[in-house]
Amino acid sequence: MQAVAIAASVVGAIGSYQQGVAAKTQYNLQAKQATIEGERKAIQYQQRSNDLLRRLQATNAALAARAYAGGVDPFGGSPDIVRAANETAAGREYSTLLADADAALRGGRLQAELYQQAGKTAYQQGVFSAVSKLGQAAYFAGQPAPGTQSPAPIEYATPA
Amino acid sequence: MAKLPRFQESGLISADVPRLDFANVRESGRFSQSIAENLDRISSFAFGEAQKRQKEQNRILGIQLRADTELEVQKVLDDLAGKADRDELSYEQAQREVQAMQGFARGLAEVDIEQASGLMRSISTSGNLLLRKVSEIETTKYVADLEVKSQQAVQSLERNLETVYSLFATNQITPEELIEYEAGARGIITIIAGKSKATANQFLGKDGEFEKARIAARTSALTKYLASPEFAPDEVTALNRISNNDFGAMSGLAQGFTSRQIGDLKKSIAATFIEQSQATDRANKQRKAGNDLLFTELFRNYVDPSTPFEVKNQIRQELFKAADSTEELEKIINLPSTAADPLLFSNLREMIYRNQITDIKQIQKYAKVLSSGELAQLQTQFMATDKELQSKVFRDISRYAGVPDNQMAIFNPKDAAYVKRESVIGIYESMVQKEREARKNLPADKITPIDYEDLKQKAIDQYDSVQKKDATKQEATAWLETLSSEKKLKNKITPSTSVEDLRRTKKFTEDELKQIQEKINILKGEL
Repeated sequence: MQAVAIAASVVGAIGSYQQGVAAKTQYNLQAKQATIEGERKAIQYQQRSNDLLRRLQATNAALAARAYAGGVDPFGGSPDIVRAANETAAGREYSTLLADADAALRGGRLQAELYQQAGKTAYQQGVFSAVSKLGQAAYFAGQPAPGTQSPAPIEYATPA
Repeated sequence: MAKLPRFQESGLISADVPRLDFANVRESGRFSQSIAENLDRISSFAFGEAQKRQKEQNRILGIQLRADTELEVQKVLDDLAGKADRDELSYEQAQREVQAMQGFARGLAEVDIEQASGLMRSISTSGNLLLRKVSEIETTKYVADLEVKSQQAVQSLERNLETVYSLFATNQITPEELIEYEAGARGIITIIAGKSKATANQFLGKDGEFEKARIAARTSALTKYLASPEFAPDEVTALNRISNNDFGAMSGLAQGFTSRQIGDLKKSIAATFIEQSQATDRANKQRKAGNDLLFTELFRNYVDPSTPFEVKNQIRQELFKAADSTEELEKIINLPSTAADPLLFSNLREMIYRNQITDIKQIQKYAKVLSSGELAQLQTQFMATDKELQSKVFRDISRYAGVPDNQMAIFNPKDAAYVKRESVIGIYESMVQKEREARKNLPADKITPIDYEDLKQKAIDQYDSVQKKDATKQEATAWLETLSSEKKLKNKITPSTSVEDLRRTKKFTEDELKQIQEKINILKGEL
């Protein structure tokens, strides 16, 4: 029974290690995936910001045209105000989108780091578990067979 | 103006915060959990092993502690058992001690519960044995105490019963009153002995102590009465009556006695008589022992040179009273004289030698000052001298009678010389006896010596005189016979013959009548 326990422990140790390695690999992949995802999202946000600029440009163009059509100075007065307002609004949104892109990028990288750390941790866990099981196996291997030796009597001091 | 185109906001308010998957935290948590689980497993395992080791250590420790504790407990129990044997331990004290020892087992339970329970069982078993022993001792003591009290009561009642039974002889108590008294006495014993079944059986049973005491009291009362002069004047009469089962006034008391008890009563009486006789012997022995002591003390004082003569005289009188054996009398006899005149003894010897002492009283008057030995010597000398004197007198008388000295053995007692001798000796001894009788009541200093020579001569003279008288009488008888024959008288002339009758016969002359009268007077002893 003792040999079975040792064998089971060794096998368990190996399994744990492998599990750790596998988990690390998985997390590394996930990290990469998170990085890619972040970049993708950042790109999306950049695209949207570009779209926004284009919309602004279109809007300002339309404003100018309309102003021109209305015989208003398109670069002063109300059109200017409207244009400023439009730019302000667009700028706000543009900032937001840039922030989002930055956030996505950062988030992706951060997530990747998190996954990498998780991978390391999973690997360590696997190693630790394997070591623990190997230690258990080693303990079992070092124990005498049952019934072959009893521990020495304990010496104690009787009170006077 | 137409409305100016406004930038259409897409409605973004704030930056979109990307949602992060904190896989590291999760994995860390999982890792920590795994570590914790592994460590738990290890620690459980190690703890289990440690627990196992600890348990094993505790088991071994528990065994050793139990062995030591059992040893200590046994010592304590042995000590308590010894105290119980010496009656120094009560049941409550024993119980407290056992409970205190059980505390050791409770303490051991913290080390090994199994050993602790074994120790508890061991202490409980030994403790129960001790408690049982103490209980038995206390019960025995209680029963013994009851026995002692019951026995004391029985002994006291026995004495009382004996006194009551003795009243039976003088009719001061009737049989009914006696039965009532006995029932009351039994009731007293029931109160004391009835508290325990064992003592009740022992004291109140059919052959119990009370019944034995009752019979013993009756026997004792009967014995005292039957051994007393009230029942019979002497032991023989008493034993004769008793052998016929006649117990006099106390016969009623012996009613109901079995034949064995009657036999015991007779043995008791016989033993009483023997005891009385032995008591008398013992009293005599004690008196003799006292006398022996007194004799020894008196003797010591007598021989002490510093004791005055007058005191020695008194002591010697006391010595004679205290002496009760031949040895002691010999001691007194051999004591030296206390006479003031040291020549008294030799003077007395001289006087005896010179026949100046012819009566023992002349010596005995000096008994107070002479020692017994001197007195005995003088008496012996006196008797020897007296005997010698008598022998000389007898020899002289024998010679006077014509008996040769060396012919006594073959001499014929009917021979005239022997008869003469015996006659003279008879006269002599009667004279001596008369002299002694005359001196018998005289005081010693008034006694004069007896002159045996003079008495001898007087005896011879008297014998001669008698012989002469006899011869004269014979001669007178012969003359009268001759005259009677000459005168041819019908009856011979005897001392009873009347001279006047002879005168009337006219056969005799006056001279003859005168001679006849003389002869008759001679025969009558008037001449």
